[in-house]
Amino acid sequence: MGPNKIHFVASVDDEHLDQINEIVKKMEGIGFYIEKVRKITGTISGIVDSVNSFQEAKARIKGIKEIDSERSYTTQISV
Amino acid sequence: MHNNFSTQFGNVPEKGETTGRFLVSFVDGGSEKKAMDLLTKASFNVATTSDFKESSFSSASLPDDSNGIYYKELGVALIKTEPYSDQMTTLLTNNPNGDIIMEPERVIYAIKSLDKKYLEGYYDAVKHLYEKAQGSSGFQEQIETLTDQESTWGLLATNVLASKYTGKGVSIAVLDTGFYTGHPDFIGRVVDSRSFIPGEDVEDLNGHGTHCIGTALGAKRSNLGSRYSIAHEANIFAGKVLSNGGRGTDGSILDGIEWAVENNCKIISMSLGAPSLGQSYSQVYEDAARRAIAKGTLIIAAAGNDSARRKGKVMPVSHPANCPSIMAVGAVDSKLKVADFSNHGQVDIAAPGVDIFSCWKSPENSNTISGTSMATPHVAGIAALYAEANPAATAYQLWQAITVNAKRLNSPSSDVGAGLVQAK
Repeated sequence: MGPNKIHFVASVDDEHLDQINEIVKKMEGIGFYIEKVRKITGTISGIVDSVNSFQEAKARIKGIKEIDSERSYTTQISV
Repeated sequence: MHNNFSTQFGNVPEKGETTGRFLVSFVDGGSEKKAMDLLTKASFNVATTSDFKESSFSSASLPDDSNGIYYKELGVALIKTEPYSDQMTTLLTNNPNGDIIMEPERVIYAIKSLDKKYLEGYYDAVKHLYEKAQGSSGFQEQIETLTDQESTWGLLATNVLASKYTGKGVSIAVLDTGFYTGHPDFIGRVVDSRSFIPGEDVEDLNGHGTHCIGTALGAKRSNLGSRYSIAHEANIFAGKVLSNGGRGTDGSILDGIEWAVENNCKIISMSLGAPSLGQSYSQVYEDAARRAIAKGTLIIAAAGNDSARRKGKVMPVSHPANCPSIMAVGAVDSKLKVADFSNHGQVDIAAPGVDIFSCWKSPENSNTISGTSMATPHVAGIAALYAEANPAATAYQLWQAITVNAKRLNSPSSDVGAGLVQAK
């Protein structure tokens, strides 16, 4: 894993929700490191070397609906 | 069941039974002198609460030499008289402008040895009549009068005190900074909790999560004074998805959502956000929320605090509240005006979010703070009341019921959505 590793979140489309484990294997095959697979929400988290891998994964792996860089969130208290 | 109930508590009145007494509401409720003059002209010998110390007064024990009591703070009198009596006719005849509204006092509770409960129910009935007489202009006045007495202004504005529902049987997941497990208001409550923050347990060293849990489903009887909680009998699921520093990532939040849905939580409350300026909503969250809804879980999230309206800065609803399948909550103040910080755009509903009192971590134990963070658990707690009222409702039906019953506000829907959330 390179120094500029990217944390990502992905979702699987409705048609491939029951094939999420297969999708994960294919993602691992093209360099994605998978940290978490959530079967109910159909989402996957992990780390990858570059955002360029997002397009590659979507093009090559059927069933990936979206991949985003992970965001940070904060409490919504007004200060 | 009815028979067992009667045996335990004595005679339980049928629905709609009245006490033989009447409630009289004076539309200009603030004028004690005018109300007392009208009552005296009609030959009513009425005492006033001004004559009593608060702690010693009970409506069940009116003075022997009077036939009524005038509640100074509410502008409402409770009188003993026969229907169509000369006294009643005189009172109503002196009412050419329709300034008086009269209706029979209904029995709310008649449970032996539970006078306090009776009085609570009675208070609600008087409040209802007062609201009816005062209309919307009196509502604000009522908030100002009663805030800090019975409850937070937020619970009053959302009509929570009048609700017969408690959230019993409904699970709410609050995904936040965790929960202060030692808070005295939660002694005896079962709390399911899990931390999704590496290296931190669920203990809330921030306070924000405890505050939100307090509003949505804390204790009805608080050791802190005013009531601040809504669904006080709902099941608590405290998911730590934000660190003690108040920060979290997609991964921890999605973990929390998955956990909540897995545990059949009907409602997820998320007082968190990330700026969304120039961005579309997250398809990943939209998919997650849509699937949560399909499993019966409604996600409610803060619209965000990025705006500074007085300075002309109005920002769009934050991630992830901007997703179509997540209910976005904007904040209003006690005058029911949009909060200065509250974001704009795809807002679905509004709730109290300025100067909100609730529980907090130790050693403070309580705090009064502002934010769409504070508005969100108001909607989540109230959603549990709707869910209890209709256990078969789907998450979409729950969403619909909440928005349809919101109180219209004099603000654009892009700021307050359907309006101010109202309890079932």
